[in-house]
Amino acid sequence: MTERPDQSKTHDSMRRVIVQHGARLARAAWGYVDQAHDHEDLMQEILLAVWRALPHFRGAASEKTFVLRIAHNRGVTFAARRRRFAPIADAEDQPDPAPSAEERLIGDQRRERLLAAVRKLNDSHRQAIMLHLEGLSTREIADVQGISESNASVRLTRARSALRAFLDGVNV
Amino acid sequence: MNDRDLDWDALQALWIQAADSAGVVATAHRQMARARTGALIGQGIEAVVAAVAIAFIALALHHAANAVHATLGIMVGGGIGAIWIWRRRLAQREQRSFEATGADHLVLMRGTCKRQLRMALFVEAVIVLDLLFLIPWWITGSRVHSRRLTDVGSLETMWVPIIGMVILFGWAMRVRSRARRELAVTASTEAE
Repeated sequence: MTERPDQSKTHDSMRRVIVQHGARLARAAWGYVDQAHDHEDLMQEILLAVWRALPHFRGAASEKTFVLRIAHNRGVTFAARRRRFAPIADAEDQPDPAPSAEERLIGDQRRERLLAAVRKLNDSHRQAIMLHLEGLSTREIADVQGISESNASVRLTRARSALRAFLDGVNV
Repeated sequence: MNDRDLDWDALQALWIQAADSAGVVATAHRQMARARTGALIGQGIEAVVAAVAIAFIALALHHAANAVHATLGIMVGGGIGAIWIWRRRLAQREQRSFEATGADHLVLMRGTCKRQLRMALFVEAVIVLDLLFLIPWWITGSRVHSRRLTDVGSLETMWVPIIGMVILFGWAMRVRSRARRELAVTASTEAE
């Protein structure tokens, strides 16, 4: 059975989105959940939402901001329905690593602490920080969040201060 | 470059490590297929449940005692159809909210949550009407057919609908509870 042309186009667009933006979407999802099974569920919901949205994409914004907007909106809803985060583990709770794995373990711990600190931010700061960490410009952040560029700049400055305060509390 | 810039570069490098492209691409197609299949199955189940419920009401309408009873049955059947349509429309509205900018997303999300609360109330009203319609039918049916509560006929015509109504009521409570949670999150995010 041959696909309709519009379905085939959506398939092609989705393949391109996954290749070009898949890692970004996965990182965005980690900003809203802290368990692997929740991440799996949220990624499925994000990908489904992107699939359904692609036929409506008219190119008013870049594809990157379009899919990130969907990912963050989906994440907000998902987190609202399942809000539960594990507390940040103390360094003393970690098992004693073998010397050869020590650097890798320290890197994993630091990444987990960064993710935990990001999740502690309020929704608007969290989105701004995650988008900034993805390399989006202030203008692109404003586009995703639907605010002016000056507001996005102020929000980002506050978000960075809040993130630093959380991180300074646990030493990344 | 000062220390704060170096800190930010290090944070960015840590952030990028949270997911790599190769790993995501390998799993994303599977996740996509699973999500689409799950969505299709969910929609299919909802459509079948609504159709069976309406068919059951139509069957019961054949034995309506009077015009009032028949009107009640028609209202219940219509209510079940309306719930199915309402649910589909809310799902479409929710999808539109995901595509909106952050500020518009919150507005649409708030509107969707309020509609979900109204839908939950409507579901409960339909369940009450359904009971008002079915109870006389059950009583009359058990007398006419000399049925006991444990008969197969009672199972098909009474217990299965009761279980269906309990499940529907539980679903309405879940919808209400989630909508209230999301409304609270929306309000706190808008206040930020």
